Amino acid sequence: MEANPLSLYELLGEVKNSLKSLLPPAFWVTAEISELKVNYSGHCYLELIEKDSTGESIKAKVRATIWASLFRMIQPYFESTTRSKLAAGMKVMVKASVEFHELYGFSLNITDIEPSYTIGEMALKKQEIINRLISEGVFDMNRSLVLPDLPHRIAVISSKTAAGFGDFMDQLVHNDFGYKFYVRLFPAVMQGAEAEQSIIAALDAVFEQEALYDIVVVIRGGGSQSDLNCFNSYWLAYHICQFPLPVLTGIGHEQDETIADLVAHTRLKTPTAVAEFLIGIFRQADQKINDLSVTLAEMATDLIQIEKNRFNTFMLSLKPAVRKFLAASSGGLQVQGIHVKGYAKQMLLSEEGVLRRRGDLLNRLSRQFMLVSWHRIALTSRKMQEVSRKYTDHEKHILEMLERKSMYLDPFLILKRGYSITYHNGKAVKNPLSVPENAELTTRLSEGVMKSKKV
Amino acid sequence: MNNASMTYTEAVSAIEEILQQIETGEMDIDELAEKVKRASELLKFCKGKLFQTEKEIEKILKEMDGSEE
Repeated sequence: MEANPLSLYELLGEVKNSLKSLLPPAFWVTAEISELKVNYSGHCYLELIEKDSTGESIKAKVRATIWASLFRMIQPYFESTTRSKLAAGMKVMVKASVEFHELYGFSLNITDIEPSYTIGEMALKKQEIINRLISEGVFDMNRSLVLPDLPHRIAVISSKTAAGFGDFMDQLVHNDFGYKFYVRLFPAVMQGAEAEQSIIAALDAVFEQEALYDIVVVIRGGGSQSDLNCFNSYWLAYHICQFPLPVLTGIGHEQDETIADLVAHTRLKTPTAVAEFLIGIFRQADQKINDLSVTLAEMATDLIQIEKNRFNTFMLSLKPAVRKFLAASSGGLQVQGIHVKGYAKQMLLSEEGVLRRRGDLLNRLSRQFMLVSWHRIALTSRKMQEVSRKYTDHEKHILEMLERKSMYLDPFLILKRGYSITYHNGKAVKNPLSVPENAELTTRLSEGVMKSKKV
Repeated sequence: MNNASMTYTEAVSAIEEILQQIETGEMDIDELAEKVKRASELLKFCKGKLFQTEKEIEKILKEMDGSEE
């Protein structure tokens, strides 16, 4: 039997003393945080691990503590450099002292931290994630989507209380130009440990109503101290890559782009910048519509001008035709006169019909336009009416002249003036010598007939 | 030609096509009047998309809000 057994407490006390005397008071050590909790009194309790080279299994593990008095300083110090809070999954370099307690066993007590190590690790991890997304073929997917010409139905992923969200809404709804947007908020936690899952859940919610929206906008207010860690997560990036609508980010920071920024369709610096970007697209569309309107008006006005010229030429060609008929009519008076009258009237009626039809068409055309060539077109049509009136007036004048002329030559009107026609044997007498003495003469007067004998 | 089912993008393409036709085609005055009228309607439709409230979309969005309460 063993002579002098130690009590448990004594044994563990020996271990404690040995450790204390053998080891330096503190070490700088690198490890991965597998768990992290902060309790109500501000003490931080962690579990640190080291994985083997495959990254599959753990080969070393220890509990660690950061007392509140130190954690109060370490946490903000860490965050100011890395822009993230200490969290599980991170690789860190810490200064730790070995602690052994009879009751609580072995642990490390952390008294300091080197954030640049973590930054290096984060950058490595970020690059790894990017490489993974590229090799999976999804890295460019969202960016290869086409932004709609008019993205006016917007799904916003943000927090209702976030300042950035308020600004964004205000700018969009009260934009200077009066453009109309339709915005629906899909609320999510935008920082901290729950952010990744929350944002992914919001994306899923949008996905279910995909057909109702044109784009997704992920926004939050910034500030240099903000925690961007969630936006470097693989799963969030993967979801954004695969999303069927273009995703725009405006997560409010000046520094390096996060992975979410890299894979999103369009990255903007702040929520305000996103609003400006969208309004800018509408502005372009507005401009384009104006340009098209102007082009349309110009083209059509040119064509009206051509048609008007054709019209005038046609009108001018009427005059010679009427002149021709005047020449033909001067030979046979009464009958001819009636024929000309009838024919000219007929011709004018048909021409008038054509004129009217063309006038109507041109009037219709001028009425179609939206833009301001109104006064120009009105002026033109007025001129055209004057021209057509001038010509028809001219025609009427000619007809009147014809009528009057034929009236003068109408024998019955001549009789009314007191003239008479003397007949001998039925033939009109023009020369007194052509009639023998005592010939029976019949004289036609306006009101009747007279018989006489030549003396 | 139903405007209601047409998208903004389709309308713009249609307008550009009409302008192309007017520019290159030998059109008589009736056809020209038709095309111009159609283009004007489309331009009005496009402008509308920028500025007018579309009751249909608002209604659907409101329904969604209601069902999520």
